[in-house]
Amino acid sequence: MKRREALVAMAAPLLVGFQPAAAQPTVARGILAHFLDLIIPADDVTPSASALGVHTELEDAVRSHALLSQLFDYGLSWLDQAGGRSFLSLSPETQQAILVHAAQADFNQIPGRFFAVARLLATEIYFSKSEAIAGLPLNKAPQPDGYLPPWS
Amino acid sequence: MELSRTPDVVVIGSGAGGASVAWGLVSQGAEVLLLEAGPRFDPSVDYPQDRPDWERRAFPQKPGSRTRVLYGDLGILNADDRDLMRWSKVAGRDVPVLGSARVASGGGYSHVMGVGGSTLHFVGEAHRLHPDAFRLHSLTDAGVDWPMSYQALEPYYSKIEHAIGMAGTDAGPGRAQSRDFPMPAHPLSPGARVLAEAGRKIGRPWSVNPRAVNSRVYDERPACNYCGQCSRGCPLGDKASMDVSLLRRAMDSGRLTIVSEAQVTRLLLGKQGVISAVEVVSQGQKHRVETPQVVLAAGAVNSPRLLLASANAEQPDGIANGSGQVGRNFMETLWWNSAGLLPGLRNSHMGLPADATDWGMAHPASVPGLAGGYKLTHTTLDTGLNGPIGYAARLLPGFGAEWKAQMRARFGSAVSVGAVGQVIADERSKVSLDPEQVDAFGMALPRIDSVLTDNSLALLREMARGCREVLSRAGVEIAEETSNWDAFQSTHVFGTARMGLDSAEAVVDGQGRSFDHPNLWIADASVFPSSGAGEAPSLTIMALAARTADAILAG
Repeated sequence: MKRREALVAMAAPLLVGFQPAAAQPTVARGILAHFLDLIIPADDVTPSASALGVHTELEDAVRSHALLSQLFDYGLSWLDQAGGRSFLSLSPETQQAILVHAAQADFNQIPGRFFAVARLLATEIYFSKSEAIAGLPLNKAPQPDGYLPPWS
Repeated sequence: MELSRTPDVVVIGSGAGGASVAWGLVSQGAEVLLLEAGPRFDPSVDYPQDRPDWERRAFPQKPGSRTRVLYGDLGILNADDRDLMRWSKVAGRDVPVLGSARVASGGGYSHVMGVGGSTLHFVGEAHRLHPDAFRLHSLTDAGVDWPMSYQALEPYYSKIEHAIGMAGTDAGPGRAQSRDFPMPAHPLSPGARVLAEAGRKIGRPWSVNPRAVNSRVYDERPACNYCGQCSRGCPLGDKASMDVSLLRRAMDSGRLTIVSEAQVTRLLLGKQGVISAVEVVSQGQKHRVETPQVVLAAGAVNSPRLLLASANAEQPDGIANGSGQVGRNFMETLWWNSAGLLPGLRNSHMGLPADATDWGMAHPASVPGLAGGYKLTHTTLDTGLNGPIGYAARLLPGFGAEWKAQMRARFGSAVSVGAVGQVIADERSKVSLDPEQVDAFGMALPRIDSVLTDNSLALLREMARGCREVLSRAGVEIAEETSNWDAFQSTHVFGTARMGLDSAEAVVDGQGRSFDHPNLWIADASVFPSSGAGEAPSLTIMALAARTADAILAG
C-alpha cells in the first residue's frame, strides 16, 4: 500500500456518515499554513513549513482524494472554532493549547485524526526538501556518495 | 520473431528460480526462452536515490509489475491475543475491532513482477536452510519432511553463492560449507554493534548476516557504497538481484532470450500427459509457443494460479494436480519488529541493511512445545529508520520547536530488531482461483486464504519476547512494534506446489519435476514442503532451481 493510500484508509472509517453542522471549509482553509507552521516552525537551523511551500503541496495532495479533503475540511473547521473565535485571532498560548489538545485527542475523533494525518503529511513533505535536513548527519540524498565507513 | 521459435526449454518467470534455472541450462548449452509477465526495470532511471525526496519513494510500481490478489479467510482477531497488536509512540494503538477479520495491508502479498522478479526489491539476505529444516516432521511431528537432505543441496548452495557473489564470514551454525564465501564480510553498522554487545551479555550471540551484496568489486559489479536503500532498488548493481547477476551472465551466453511483458495464460496439454505448448499474450497478441520442456517459476501464488487456470476436459482440477495439492499448504511468514531509540548512539542510519543476525532460534525445534523456529535480524535501515520521515512518523511524537530540536538530537540513535518465523502448513491456508473476477487477460484472479494457528500465535509471542529482550539489554527505549498478527503482509510465501516422494501427497518430486507431466518442472518457493525457520528463501530457491536445471538436462 502506498503511503497516500494508507492515509486515505486512515480517514475513511471515521468519515462515513459524519456530518458536522458547523463545517465551513472555505473559511477554515485559510488557516492551514499557520497551523502547519505551529507544527514545524522556523528555528536557527531550518525554515518553517510554509517557507518551504509545505502547505501548498499538502493542499494539492489532500485535494486529490475526496476522503482526505473531507477530513481536512472538518478538521480545519474544528480548529477555527475550538477557541470560541477565529483561530488566527487567538493568542499564541491559546493556539498552542489547542494543538496540544488535538495531538492528545482520540484518534477516532475528528480532532485527533485530523492532527495525526496533517502532521504525517506535513513532515513527509517537509523532510523531502534539502533545506529541511540541515543539522542532521545526512547527505542531500543517499546517492551518489553513500555513507562509507567508518561510521563512529 | 522470438515467440515463433521452438527453444529447448521455456521458463515462465524471471525471479530467483527462473533466473537460476535459465542460467543453469544455458551454461550447459541449452537454448532457453524466458517469458516474464512484468516489465524491465532500469536501475539508473527507476531507482533515483540521488534526489532529496528519496525517502518518499518506495520500490517503484510500474504498470504490470504486480499481480492483483484477492484475500479470503485471513483469520479472526481474538481478544486474548491483543498483546500482539501493533503500536507506536507516534500513532498510538489503532485498536482493531476484536473479533473482526484480519485483513491484508501494506501490499498484502508483497512481490515484484519484472525481469529479476522479487529479487529487485529484496534486501539481499541469502541464507542456507539449517540441515534440520529438511526434517521438520521427523523432529516435530508437524508438517512434512523434504524429499532431500541438506547434503544433496549443498553443492548447489555453494555454486550459487559464488555465481551471484556472497559476502560474509560463514553460512551460520550447522550449515556446513564446502567452500568459503568469495567476499569478506561487510563491516558491522553502529546499530548491529549495539545488538552484538547486548546479545553477548544475555548469551545470545549475534553474527554477520550472509549478504548477496558486494563488499568489493566482484562479478564485474562494483562494491556497495552503503546508501542503505537495498529494498528501494539498488542503483549501483552491487546487490545481486537477478537482472544484474544470473540473468546478465546467462545473456552473455547468447543462448537466452528474455521476453518481458509476456503473460502466460495457459499450459497446453499434448499427448501422453506431455505439456506441448504454452499460450502467451505479448504486445496484445496471443501466441502459442511449442516447447519440449517447461519450467514454471512464477512464485507461490502465480504458479499454482497458472496450473489451476490451465484446467481442461482431461484435467478438470488443473494441470499437475493429480494429488489435489496444487494451491494447498500455503505458508506465509510470521514477522515481528520492535524499534526504539538508544540515548547516545550516533549514525545508526549508516551501514548495510540487515547486516547482523541471531541464529539461535533458527531451527525447526528451537522452542519447546512448538513447531518451527525464528531468526532475529538487525532491521534499523531496511525498515526505514534511516531518514527523518521515518523518525517523525514512527519514533518521535510531538510538534513545534522542541520537537525539531529533539529530531536533531536523536536522529541516528534508532535501533530496530526484526524476527521472521515459521508457519506450519494448515488445511485452511491455500491459493485458489476467484470464481468471478478475472484480470485483463481473462485469467481468474488468485485468492489467498491464510490463517494463523495457535502454534503460529505462540511462536509470534516468542519472537516478540526475543526482540524485546535484546533491545532491553541494550538500553533501547522501545517506541514502536509491528507484526503480522493484525494484518496479512508477507514477502516470502511457500508450499503451493510442494515437492515430495509420494505422488499422492505432492505435486513435484525432489528434482522439481511434476509427477503428472514428465516435461513440466517447477522452480520457485511453491515447491518448499516447509519454509525453514526464518531464513530468507532466495538462495534456496536458486539452489533448487540450479539442481532442477541439471535434472532437465540429464533427461
